[in-house]
Amino acid sequence: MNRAYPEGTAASQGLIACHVCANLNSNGVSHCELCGRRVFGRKPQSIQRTLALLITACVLYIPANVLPIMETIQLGRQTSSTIVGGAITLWEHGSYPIAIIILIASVVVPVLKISAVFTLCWMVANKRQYPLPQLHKVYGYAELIGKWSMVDIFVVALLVALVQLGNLMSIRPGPGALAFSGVVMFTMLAARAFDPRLIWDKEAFEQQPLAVAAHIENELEVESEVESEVEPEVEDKFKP
Amino acid sequence: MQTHNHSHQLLTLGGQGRRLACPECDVLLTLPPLQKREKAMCPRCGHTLLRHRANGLLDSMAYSLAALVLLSWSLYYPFLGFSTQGQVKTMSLLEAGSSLVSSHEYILGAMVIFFIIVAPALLLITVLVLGLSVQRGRPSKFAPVLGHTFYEISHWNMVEVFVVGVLVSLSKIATMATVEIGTGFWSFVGFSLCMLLAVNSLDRHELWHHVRLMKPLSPAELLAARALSADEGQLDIEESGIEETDIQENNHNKPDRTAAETS
Repeated sequence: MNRAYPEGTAASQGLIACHVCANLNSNGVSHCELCGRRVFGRKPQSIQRTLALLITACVLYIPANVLPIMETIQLGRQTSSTIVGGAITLWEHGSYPIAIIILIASVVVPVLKISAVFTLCWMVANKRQYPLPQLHKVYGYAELIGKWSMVDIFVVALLVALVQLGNLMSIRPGPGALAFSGVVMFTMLAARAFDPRLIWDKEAFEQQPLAVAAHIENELEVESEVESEVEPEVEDKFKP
Repeated sequence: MQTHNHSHQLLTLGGQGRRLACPECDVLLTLPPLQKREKAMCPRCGHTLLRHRANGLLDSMAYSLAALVLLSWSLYYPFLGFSTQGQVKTMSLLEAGSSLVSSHEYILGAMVIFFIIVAPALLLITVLVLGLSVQRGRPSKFAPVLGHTFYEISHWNMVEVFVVGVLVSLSKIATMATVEIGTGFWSFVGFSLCMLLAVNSLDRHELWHHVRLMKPLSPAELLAARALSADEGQLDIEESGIEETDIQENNHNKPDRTAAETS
């Protein structure tokens, strides 16, 4: 598993990379030297915060599915539909692709995302051996798919704006919509609160002595070049 | 430590290589300059660190401007029209949020407007303001704040999700009524494309590299710059920073400028 990374990790070299501007700060600074942002080696209390946000999302997931997401009034009759109910209706009407899109975006994606981030937290918190690249891929997908669950909320927003013909036909948002958008927001926040570098911190770091030596030589060369070129000028600047 | 820092900065500035830590696995890497169509991926976790961009910031500014114009069009022109049994209703883009507010779903309405209008517009304006200050070579007090705004908001831009939402709702109501697609919708599609290009052609590192050049100088640096400018008769150095490359560029530019002034 151990491949050679001649320069090590930022943490092993006593450097802290700013997560906003990628500037490498020396260890011990509290704020980034370039952009002034607070820096930290790893996000503080990453696992706890991720879990807290995830649990919030799980709690909200219940009303999101039980309460109606929108109410349709057609010729004075009011029918309300939940997320899954709406998808089933679409399926019965024969619009299979739309039903599948709704099902994937509103049911599969949130469930997958919540369980994926839970798995990540569990794996990192319990000192277990796991395949690192695969786990990292899980994180990547969880970050990527998060916002696509908002499709259903946008559909409701558009239908509510568009279908406003009084008693003939109109659509109103249901209380489930707010709960569902909460699920999406909190899962996105949870994925962001998770620090992927925690996954990799488990890897025992073995440096290849040869590669390191070559690297140091390289750096020395560069440094001596820089000194010979720049130092005289700098000295001149300070001379009266 | 000082000299080491200095050499490291020159290294990154000279384009010989960029030293950075992978944001997703913390491994330290020095990237060689990239050729066309190349991208740098982390050998450890596979995260894409950098793509080759010839004129990243300029491209991004151009796309941002186009996207802002298209966004204002899609706000102004009718977005979608809906007619059944002789009754017609058209909606604007803003109504996607405001009609939720008028149905007493205030939070939901605010969220929708933020995700599809406010966040993308703020993102584009940030790119334009930062890009302009970089182009003028003027240090901007707000550069770090703008950079942070960009970073925070970029996660909440859901323009492309909204486009899919429009397509889904179109096919949902196409069975019940006649739906007309307005100019606003086509502008919005163009806007989402430009938005995508603007965000993708922007290089976070390049942006911050410019911010680093524009950073206000410390007193010692200012003194050094003054001494140097007194030596060479340059007065505009105080504003443009004292990086070696800048000074050299100024030296190169100088004859041209005087020639232009005399002619």
